[in-house]
Amino acid sequence: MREPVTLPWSEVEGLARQPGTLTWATPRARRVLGWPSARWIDSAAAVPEAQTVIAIGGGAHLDFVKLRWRGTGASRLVAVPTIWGSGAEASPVAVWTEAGQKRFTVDEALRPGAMAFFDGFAASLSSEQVRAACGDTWAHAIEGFLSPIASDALRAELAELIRQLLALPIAPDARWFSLSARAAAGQAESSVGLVHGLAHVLEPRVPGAGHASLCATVLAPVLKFNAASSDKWRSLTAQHGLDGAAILERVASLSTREARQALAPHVLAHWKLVLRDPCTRTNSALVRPDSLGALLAQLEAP
Amino acid sequence: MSNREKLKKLILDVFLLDESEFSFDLKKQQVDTWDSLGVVSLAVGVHQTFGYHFTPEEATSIQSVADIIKLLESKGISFDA
Repeated sequence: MREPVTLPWSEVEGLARQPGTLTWATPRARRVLGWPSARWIDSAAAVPEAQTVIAIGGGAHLDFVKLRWRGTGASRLVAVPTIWGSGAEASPVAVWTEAGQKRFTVDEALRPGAMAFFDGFAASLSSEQVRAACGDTWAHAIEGFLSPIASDALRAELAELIRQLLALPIAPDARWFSLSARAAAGQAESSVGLVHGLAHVLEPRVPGAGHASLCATVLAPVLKFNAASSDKWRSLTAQHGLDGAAILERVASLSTREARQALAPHVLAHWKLVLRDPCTRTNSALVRPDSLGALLAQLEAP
Repeated sequence: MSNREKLKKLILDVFLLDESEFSFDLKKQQVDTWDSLGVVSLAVGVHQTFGYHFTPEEATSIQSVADIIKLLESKGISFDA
């Protein structure tokens, strides 16, 4: 898997103090870091003159900076996530919302030159944020692993990553940062599936629903749907020595029954859009118009 | 359900077509959703339905429903009416 180089945090702190560096961070990141000698920016105007741009924030912020940094000539982008899950710091993908629709683009020129992780950000996350972020990470790893276009070598790498995820509790543990980056880099070399198809369609249509939270909520029902529809889940987990039952149990712990049931009417209402979503069309099991009943049954299951 | 009926349902479901849009003479260029993602989805569906896994070269060379039948028949899957 292709990933940016990982810088030690002390090196990023040193970079931030250099005159040629601009730091573009979310308000929360600025509050947590302080950094009195950094040159903070909140627009792309000065980016072309910078030697280094340090982007610090969640996935949406990192994608926003990546899209504005691309092609400006700034020598290097260092991406620092304040929460794991999106993997925006490692991937050549950028996602944005336009006229109520989720759009994305894949371009190697969007991949940051370096990434870094600050343990202090993990400690500042709520339990709900942690659960959603872990769900997004798990979704990237599993959908990349199951992708119909994943190579055998990529599947082997993602299988090893999944073993490491299984060993990590759903908790504010900074080790999630680097595993999330690897999961995103891996799925960028294959594809995602129905989990992301549902998340992309529902995010702008379900009040208060965020991408990561939606991934966490639908991951277990979609995996069970996939397992019931195709032998791919069983055969690939066996081939790579993965404990499929343990994985299903872990991802089921990422959401509550109430949250899954609450989504069912929205899936029903927007099913035609879900079917047409590009991610749905590269799901590991074929998603047919009449698959709706089986998926709703998984969402509504105890 | 015969293999011809299975294939027809698969094509309708993969490319999100109405029944009136389907014929066994259907060609790729007549179907908006028979794009690169449609090729992936078709390969997944053929594997699930007929147990045969297209190679990437086979999947991208298919230009029509007739091509799918011809290819699957060459693998021993019968489409006799």
